[in-house]
Amino acid sequence: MEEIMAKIVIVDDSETIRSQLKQALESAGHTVTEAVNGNDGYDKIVAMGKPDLVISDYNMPGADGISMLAKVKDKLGAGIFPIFMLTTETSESLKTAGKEIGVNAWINKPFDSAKLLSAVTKMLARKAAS
Amino acid sequence: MSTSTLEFLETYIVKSVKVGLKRYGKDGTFTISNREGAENKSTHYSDRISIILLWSNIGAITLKIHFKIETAKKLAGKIFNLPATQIADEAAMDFMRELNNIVGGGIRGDFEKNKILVGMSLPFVAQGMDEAVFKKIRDPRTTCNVQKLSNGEDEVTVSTEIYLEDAEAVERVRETLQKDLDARDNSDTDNLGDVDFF
Repeated sequence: MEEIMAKIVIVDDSETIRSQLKQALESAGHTVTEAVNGNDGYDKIVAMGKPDLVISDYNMPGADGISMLAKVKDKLGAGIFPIFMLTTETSESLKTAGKEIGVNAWINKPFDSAKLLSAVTKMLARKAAS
Repeated sequence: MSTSTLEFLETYIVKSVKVGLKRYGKDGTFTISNREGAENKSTHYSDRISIILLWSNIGAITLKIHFKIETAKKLAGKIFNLPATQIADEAAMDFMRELNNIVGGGIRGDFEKNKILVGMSLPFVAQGMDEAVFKKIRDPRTTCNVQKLSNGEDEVTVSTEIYLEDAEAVERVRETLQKDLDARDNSDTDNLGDVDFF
């Protein structure tokens, strides 16, 4: 599969998770913007306008991941970039809420960098083909 | 009130932390043992505490992981392949906060698979001397437990306070809770972070 370099926003209140994600994504050539909570995530995504992918946690201080993404959707419109949720949450009702606001994939923490990168590549290829 | 229900939960929670260290902390060598001196108010185990609260209509759990900053740096270093000396205090504390988040999330997920909805706080880390000594328990619905997880040179102390309003609800799902936790413990870490595409 052809590698696509992307602008990716990661939203997580854990510095450890952000560092792990950043290390993995940058090693694959992607450009990473970090946001430290839901409100910061909203500001950075809107400022960027159209990132290639957003990877967001759910449980964060201030706005949770789904509320933040719903607000982004209201502002920028639906389906303009793919979204991965990376969370400890496993609830089916939350997954349904995620699907409704355009989440494309759900990944449970702790994550595996190789699997995450493979999913990112697959998602970006799917987006490029559409 | 069955004491064994509370004992089961104590064991299940401590083992959940062990599984968290294995899956998130990439260290499967920790073993569980009783914490000596838990009744002794002059005993101090650590200088930091990672805390998370879980609650539902059947009860509530306070889960605390007591740790020394040097231990947290070693543990965080493992996931970044860095020596402990290159891990900042804040990064080490964040690692322990996220460890508790992942442990709590696993416990909540196990209960929710059994249709018991659980609320969970954000994890937080408090600095200061350890206070793993609980008040004398007079309510038979409540238990406090202190255990040690060690791998030889490193150790953390896990203390739990459990209030159980509905023991029967736990008994009904006890086997599946245990099975799900054992599955996480025994599964190869290769199955971490499976991606569920919608």
